[in-house]
Amino acid sequence: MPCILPHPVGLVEHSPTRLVVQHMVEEQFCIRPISLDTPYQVEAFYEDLSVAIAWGYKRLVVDLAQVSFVRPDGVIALVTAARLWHTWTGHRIVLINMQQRVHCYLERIDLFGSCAAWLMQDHELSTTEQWDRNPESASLLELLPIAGDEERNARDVGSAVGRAGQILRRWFDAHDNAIRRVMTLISEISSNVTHSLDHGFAVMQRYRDGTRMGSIVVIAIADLGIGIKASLNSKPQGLILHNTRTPLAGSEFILHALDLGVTSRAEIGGLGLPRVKTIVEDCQGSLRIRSFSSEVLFIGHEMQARDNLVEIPGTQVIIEVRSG
Amino acid sequence: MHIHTNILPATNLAVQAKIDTPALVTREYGRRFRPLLEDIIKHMADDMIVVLDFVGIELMDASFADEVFGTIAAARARRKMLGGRLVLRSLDETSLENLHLALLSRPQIESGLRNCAALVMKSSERLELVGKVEGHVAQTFEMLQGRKQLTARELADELKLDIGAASTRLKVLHDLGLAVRIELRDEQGKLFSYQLPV
Repeated sequence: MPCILPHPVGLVEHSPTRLVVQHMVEEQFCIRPISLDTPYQVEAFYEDLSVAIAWGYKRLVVDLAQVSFVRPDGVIALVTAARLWHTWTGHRIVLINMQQRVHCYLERIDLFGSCAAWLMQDHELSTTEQWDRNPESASLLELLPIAGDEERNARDVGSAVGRAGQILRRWFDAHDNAIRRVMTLISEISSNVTHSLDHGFAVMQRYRDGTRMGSIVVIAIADLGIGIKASLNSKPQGLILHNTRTPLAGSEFILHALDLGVTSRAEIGGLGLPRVKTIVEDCQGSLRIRSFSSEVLFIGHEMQARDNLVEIPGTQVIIEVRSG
Repeated sequence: MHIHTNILPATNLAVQAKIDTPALVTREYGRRFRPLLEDIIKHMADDMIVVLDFVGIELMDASFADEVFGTIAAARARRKMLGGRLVLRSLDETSLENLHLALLSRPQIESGLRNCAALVMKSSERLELVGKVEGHVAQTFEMLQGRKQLTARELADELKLDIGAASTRLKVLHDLGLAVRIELRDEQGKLFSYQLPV
């Protein structure tokens, strides 16, 4: 975790890629991301969040004036930040200065409805400004809550998969198999929320691929639970990885969770993540699994691991696949 | 000889299991679905067949496939489950991939398990074996695919095996739920003939 040093109140720092820390008004801390559409920018946002927490502020404002586009991982980052902030301070974060398009998108995916307990907007869009939210239009997958207990999780996963299937069929003129593979990704990752001892959120969006004929589907799912390391260590017989002499990095636990048959359950399991990895490899897509301060990223068959990220509880999974 | 076959829509069983979506996903839904299917299989004679038809099922994920069909196939391999033969029909390509992974991975996860397979009807009247089986099981299954019926004597002659080994091979196929055994009588007495369930 990066060292966090206190800054004098009112200091504004600039970096080539983002505004690191913004001014504070009384007890209010303001983060002003310049973008939330790349993993790097999302990490920068989490770093700013950790600074805000370290300084002990009660109120957090996220100024989205410079953000012109939000991907599913950006949405999940906002939800994660809001839930964390509320857990730590008891206050909701406030999103301000949203560009019209961003505001409409966040409203359309029901961010402000699903996360009303932790997050608020500086103003509401008028009904004429809002994008159509006819559920029958099936043009977009709203932010979906995913329960953590097995029974409700199954129901949530079932409805998320069904809804995603409807939407994917509208988005793509793709082979049915490609659509069902994306549905499998959503299903297997969403059902893993049961290991977290928390609940989660899932969101999906499609983008046109500028360089190829086809589309990119991005799925993001996150919880604020115990994370992969603690989940695997909670298994009654313990984890084999524990027997090694040196403490293992969090990324090694993430990699272990991708092995066939590895599960925190006492019974047989551990099929979901290996299946997800196989599909992502077959599709030449990417799979990013972030848990606490560690991350593993697969792009096709290539793998990168990092263990020095800002500590964010739970697990965040971002999947990107090409289709069509 | 006529083999009694029951067609069972998976959607019907899903409704009974209180699964209110057309997607068979998660272990939890699998835990609701499996006992109902097991109950049907166990109450059938071992020369009867249940064809589980997936028409109307949008997707079966790997976790559900493992919970239901991985568990049933593993129980068959350990001779802990008797009853009718199970055939899966009208599975889409992705659900079949998910089933394949589930059955293939079981022997890697469960120690001592050497075979874990299910019968899938991919095209009309054509049965295929999905999952992991030992070489001799696959070979015997292939022979059975090419013939209508097979006795231990015929198998022994074809593969130059002794009659005991041939008989064991066919019995293993039967125990795994992959073949139907029919009792025949000729002038020399009783003998068993084996055939695929469809």
